[in-house]
Formats: sequence, C-alpha cells, structure tokens
Amino acid sequence: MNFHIRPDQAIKEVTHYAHKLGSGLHTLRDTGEVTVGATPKELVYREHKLRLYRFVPPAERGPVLHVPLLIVYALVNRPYMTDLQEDRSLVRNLLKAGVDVYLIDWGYPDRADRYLTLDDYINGFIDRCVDAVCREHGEKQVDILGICQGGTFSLCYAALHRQKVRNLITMVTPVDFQSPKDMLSHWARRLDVDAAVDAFGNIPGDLLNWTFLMLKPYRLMGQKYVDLVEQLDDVKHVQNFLRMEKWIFDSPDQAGEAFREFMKNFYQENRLMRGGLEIGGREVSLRAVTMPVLNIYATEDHLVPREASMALRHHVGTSDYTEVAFPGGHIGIYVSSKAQRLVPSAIHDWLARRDVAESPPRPRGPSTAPVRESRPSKT
Amino acid sequence: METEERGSDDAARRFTAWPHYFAALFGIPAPDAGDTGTWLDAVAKVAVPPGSSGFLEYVIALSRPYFSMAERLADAGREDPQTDVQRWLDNMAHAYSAAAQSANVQMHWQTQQAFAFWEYAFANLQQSVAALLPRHDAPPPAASGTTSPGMAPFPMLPGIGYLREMQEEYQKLARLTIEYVGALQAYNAGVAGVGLRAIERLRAKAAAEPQEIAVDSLRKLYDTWVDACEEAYAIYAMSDEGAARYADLIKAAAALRRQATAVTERILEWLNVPTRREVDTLAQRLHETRREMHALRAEIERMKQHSNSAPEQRANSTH
Repeated sequence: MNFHIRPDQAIKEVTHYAHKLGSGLHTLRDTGEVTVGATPKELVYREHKLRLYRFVPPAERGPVLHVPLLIVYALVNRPYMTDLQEDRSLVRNLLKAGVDVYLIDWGYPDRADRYLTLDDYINGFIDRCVDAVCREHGEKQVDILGICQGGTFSLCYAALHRQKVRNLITMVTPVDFQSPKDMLSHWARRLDVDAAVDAFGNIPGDLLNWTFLMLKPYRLMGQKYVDLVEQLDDVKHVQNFLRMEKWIFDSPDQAGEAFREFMKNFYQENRLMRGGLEIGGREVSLRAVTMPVLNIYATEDHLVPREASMALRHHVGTSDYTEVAFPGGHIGIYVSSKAQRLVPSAIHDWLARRDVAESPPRPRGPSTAPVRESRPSKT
Repeated sequence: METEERGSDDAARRFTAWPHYFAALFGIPAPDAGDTGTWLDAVAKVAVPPGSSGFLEYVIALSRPYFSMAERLADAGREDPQTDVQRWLDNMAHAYSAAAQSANVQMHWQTQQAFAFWEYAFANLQQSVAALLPRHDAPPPAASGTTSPGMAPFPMLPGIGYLREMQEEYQKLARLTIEYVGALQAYNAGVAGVGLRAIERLRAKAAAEPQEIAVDSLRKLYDTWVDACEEAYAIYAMSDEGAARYADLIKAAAALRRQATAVTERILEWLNVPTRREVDTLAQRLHETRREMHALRAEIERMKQHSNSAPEQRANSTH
C-alpha cells in the first residue's frame, strides 16, 4: 500500500468538508419535519397496544392475488420501515403488484406488559390477527411475511398453526442463532439474561440500540456521519438520512418475559434448530413447516448473518423451499433502490405462482368493516 | 520543481490556517492554535432551527476523528507524503497509548449514555434517601465515573444496632456501585485497546499490500483507518474476553439497578406508596386472567362451530 497524500490535496479535502458542513446549516433550516409512513392504511383490529392495519391499495394495480399477506415485524424497532417513504416502500410496491397487505404494529410495550410471553405474542396476538385477516377476506388461510425476529415468530406460528398459513415468506430471519460469524450471538450467549430481566423488568430500547451500535462502532458512530457531510447540501438526502436515523433509534422496550424466553431458547440454547423448543406448552418443530417457504436473506447482513438465515433449508419440513439472496445489508434490504426493484417483485412473483382461491373472490375495495377489538376498552 | 515546492509551502501554511478559514465561514471566533476541540464546540452552537441543533452537534462530534486525523497529519511534518503518513501512524499510536483516543471517546460517551437512563434515577434516589431518612453512614458513591477512595471501606463495615438491616442494604448498594464502575472501566479499557491494534494492522497492511494500491487522499486514509479499526474491533468483540466484558457490564448494571430498586421500595413501603413489586404482582395476575379469558373465548368459538356444523360431521367427529 502506497501512502501519498500531498498537503495541498489534504487542505482541499478539509476545506471541501468545511464547505459541506457550512451548507449543512442552511440545509437543516430547510429540512422541515421528517415524516414516516407513506401509504394510507386503515385499522382493522386492535388489542391493547397492538394494532392490525390494512394498507389501502392504489386504484391501478396488477391482478389481485386471492390470499392476503400479513406482515409480522420484529419487536425490535418499528414496522414503518416497510413503508418508510413513497419511493422506499416494500408495502407500496407489493400493493401495486396486486398483493393485499396487512401489518401488525406491536406498539410500545410499557412496564404493564412485562409479563407478556412468547406464547402471548405467537399463539395469542399473531393468531388473533390471522383470524381477523381471514374474517376480512373470507379466507381460511393467509400468507405471512415475517421480517427479522418477526420471521422467527412466523416460523414458530406456522409450525404450530400450519392450517392457517398458505405460504410463508421469511426475510432476514435468524434460524441458526449460533452461526460462527454472529457477533450478537457471541455476546448474547454470555449474557445473564435472568439478572437483566429481573433487574430491568422490560429491557430498555436504549440498551439494545447501544448493543447494535457496538457491533460496528467505527462505521456506525463515525464513518456514517462523515459520509453524511458529503451530502449535507442536499435537502432530500438529509431528509432520507434523518428518516433512517429516526427509525434506527426508535426502539421500543422489550417485554421482559418474552425477551427472557427469546434470548434463552433461541440465542443461548439454539432450540429452533436443535429442537426442544416449546411455546405455550407445545413443541415447535421446523419439520412442521410444510407449506411453501420463500427465504430472503441479505448477503452482507451484520445483524443476521446469511448463514443464520440459510440454515432454514436444512430443517424446514416443506419440499417447496426457495431462497433469494439479496446483495446488501440488513437495512438496505428495505430501503435501497436495488431493494425496491428486487424484493417486492421476488415476493409477488413467488406468491402469484402459488395463489389459488379457496373461497369465491370478493370485492377488493377499502374495507368498510368496523374495527374489531378483543375487548370493549380502547386502550 | 521550484513552483511545486512553493506550492507545497503555501499549502503547508494553509494547513495550519484552515480552522481560521472555518471560523470565518461559520461566523465564529477563530480557535487558538491546536485547539480545534473548542472550535468544533463553537461550530456546534451556531444557530440552527430547534431540533436540528442537536443533530448538527452530533454530526460535528462524530466528525472529530476525521478532523483529528487531518490535524495529526499536519503535525507530522510536510517533508514527504509517505513519511508524513508514517509519522501520522506514530502519532496515532502514541495518542492511543496515552489513552487520548478521539474515536473511542465517542464510544465511551455512547456507553455512558446507554446506561444513563437509570443513573439519573439512581442520583435522584440518593437525594431522596438523604432527605427522608436520618443516616449514620455516608451515602453510596455516584455511579457516573470514578469511585471515591474514601468510599472503599464503607461496604466492608459490619452493620450494627437498630438500623443494621438498612445499613446492610446501603452497603450492598455501595459495593454494587463500585463493581459497576469497575465493569464499565474494564469494558472501556477493552475497547480502547482496539485503537492501538488498528494502527498496527494499518502498518502491517501498508507493508503487505502491493504498492499499486494508493492511499492518496485524506478521505481514503480515513476509510482505510476505519476498516482497520473495524477489523481489529471484530477480532476483539468475537473473543472470549470481549464477550465477557460486555456480559460483565450488563450484569453489573443489572445488579446495581436491582439493589437500587430494593432500597427504593423500602422507602416507598414506609411511605405507604405502591411498589414496583406490588404492581408487578397485579400485572402478573392480570396477564393470567387475560390468558384464561382468551382460552375460554377460543373454546366457546370452537363449541359454536361444532354446534353449527352438519349433523353427520358431528357424528363423524365423535367417532
């Protein structure tokens, strides 16, 4: 390697950097409020803090698939990442292609939710949302798109309620929680989870954010912002950056008991892969996932290494298993321009090939059904 | 040749003058020589819209390693670019050895922030305790930095008399505070060591990789340095030592938090105020009731479906 930095070149760079910082002052004045969520949606079901939304499809779109798609997002971070802004929206692109899209928003658990368990989330919340979507569409089954930890939940759900899941899509989903390059797993295995949950109750989102930043600290706490300065004179770029920052640091606290179960059963004992996983007193086996499965992973994922996702192929029970490798990282798979082109079409095309109606087709206009609740109160 | 040398001298003069140039650009006072830290703070305080000032401060704070790199390069001399970078590497290594790590300071700050959420509560607790109760012993040390040397014997003293139990609770709190501060320092020390190893990696890379790979700009140097840091950090983070220090820090913070809660609850009970433990008991009962209710609803739904199904289906299902 040959170092050859001339002083005048370095001065030019530093001066250029200063100019960009200077324009940043003006750009920030013009940036305005950063909003998230681009596609109109309607509430179809709610239960405590959980909300189930149906996205309103555009007037013009491709031939509509019979079976609706339910997106199950992770408990970590917020699901609006799937519909961040108009030109970066997995949801919008799926709607355009002809998929009816529902999404579970878990809300922000507080300390009253500390005793929610994985059984509550998987056999409770997800199951009741699936029932709600089935009622809306007059179908007996839904397609599920599980993302990240939501993908792991979806696998568990599909194994336990396979009669309700027509097709399953997992996206950047960990299956092998102890793959060799998994830094998060390396740390998690040493963690005294009981001590943390007993002390904190719910696990603070700030603590998780810090942990995620410490996976690549020099990039995420330094280089990323030096890169930003290069673009500080571009209002649109700054708005996009701020939107991403909002999402990255918008981390709900984690319900304590669910966190305890997740860390122990999945990260520390790797039971989804090794066996012995029980949720709500029932054994969860990936062999019971017999419906068609599309597994999308990111080749440069530092949170869920591709090996962690690809492990699914060796354990899943279905013979109709497809993998798609997305050339990018854990976040790029939602928001990069490459992702907008590749991911929604991959999902739609795969679903379309497997879309068979069970019930007679019904009109697909916006839902007029009243919001269903699990109980009279609206909290 | 002469022109090139004059250009280089001129550039060298401008190198030391760039903070003054920035000062003029941003309309703030020029910094003293070598005092870009103060200058960056001043830039961060330039008026921007509410909500954006914090963001700008953050960007500037996180740009410090980049500026620091330019400064150190300028300090290294201006004789020969290759030599300058080697000197820069020496400077950086020296800086890391002296624990003046520009990038790691930021990481330490983040770590501190990550645990600050309960430290505030902890400080409030100390004040509340001091105001509420007559105390025969010293308060526990603050959890935010270094331990007071005078505090060390306090946790070891035997408890005596009427307030013995309470004294033991505070002693435990003090002990756990010291352990937490120790774990935090150990964690930060572990991360700080990465900087030095990154410089060594960069040197090794420079020697091993072909001369055709040119690092001919400050930005390339910065990116190469970040790559080296991440590589060195990944090795540390994936080591048993790295994982153990992370786990120890979380465990120490959790133990301290738990004891602080226990001490607080004692006061709340004394004041007849509901405690976290009592609220948790209620929440647990409520969750159990909800689960039972959902199970009953599901059962009713199944019975309804069963009774609505065709008689022959019912007959079949009973066989």
